[in-house]
Amino acid sequence: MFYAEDKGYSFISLLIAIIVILIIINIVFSVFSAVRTHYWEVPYTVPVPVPYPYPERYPERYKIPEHYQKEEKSKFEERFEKKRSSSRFQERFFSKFGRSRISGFRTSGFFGGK
Amino acid sequence: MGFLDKIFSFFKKKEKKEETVIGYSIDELEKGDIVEIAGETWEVIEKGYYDYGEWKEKSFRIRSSRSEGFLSKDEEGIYFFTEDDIRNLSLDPISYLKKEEDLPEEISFKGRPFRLKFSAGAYYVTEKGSSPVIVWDFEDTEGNLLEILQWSDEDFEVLSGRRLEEWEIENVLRRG
Repeated sequence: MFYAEDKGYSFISLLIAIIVILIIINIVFSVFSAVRTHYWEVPYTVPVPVPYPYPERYPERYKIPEHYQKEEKSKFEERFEKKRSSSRFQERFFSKFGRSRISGFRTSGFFGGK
Repeated sequence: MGFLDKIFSFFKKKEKKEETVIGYSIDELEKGDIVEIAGETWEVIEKGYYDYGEWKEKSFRIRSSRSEGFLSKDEEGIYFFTEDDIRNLSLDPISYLKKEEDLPEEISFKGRPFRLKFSAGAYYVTEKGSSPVIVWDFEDTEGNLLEILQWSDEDFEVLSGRRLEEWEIENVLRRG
């Protein structure tokens, strides 16, 4: 009898102790979670816009941002490219100072040179 | 390096560098070589070439006690240029090319008229790398040459010169 009462008492107190411990753990985790959300995490993510599937109708949606657009070429670069392409023609027929560039013409591969 | 090596290397540095004559072909010129052109002594300070696409022009930047210049060689000849003042041109190429696409066919330099003979875009290649450059070559009726180089929108170089015969290059010395 004594043992039975003793066992019952200790079972109830064990149960209460477990419940109290669980409550304490829950409180600690809740506080930790709240602090973490407040100080370290963004509460929710910004939704990413989905591209609209009609570029011809809504060109402003598909406009490439300015910082992605290729920089304009300088006047020097434009002139250099023009000169580079025209000089390829010149070099076959003229030398720098007026004499004919026969040797260059022959070895350029046009007549089966090198 | 041991203590004795240091002493020996210290004395080695003090030895006078031997100079040897290697001939007069400009194909063999290297950076540091000393070359005599028409009685004036020049040092080769840079070795490179102009790449015009299918053909190349060897070029050596040279320096004397008075000025800097270029010695260049292509398939047909040797050219000798020295740096000149851009203000000797009848027009300012920087402001002119801001308005116009190209330099004129005729240009006046030190009061003498020069006609455009050649113009092209090239890459100037040295051991340091390559740079795009636009070249304008002018010539007057007496055979004097004028070269205008554009390196960027506002960076121009004016060189005046002449054709050179190979015998005019004398005493090529290499520092051993």
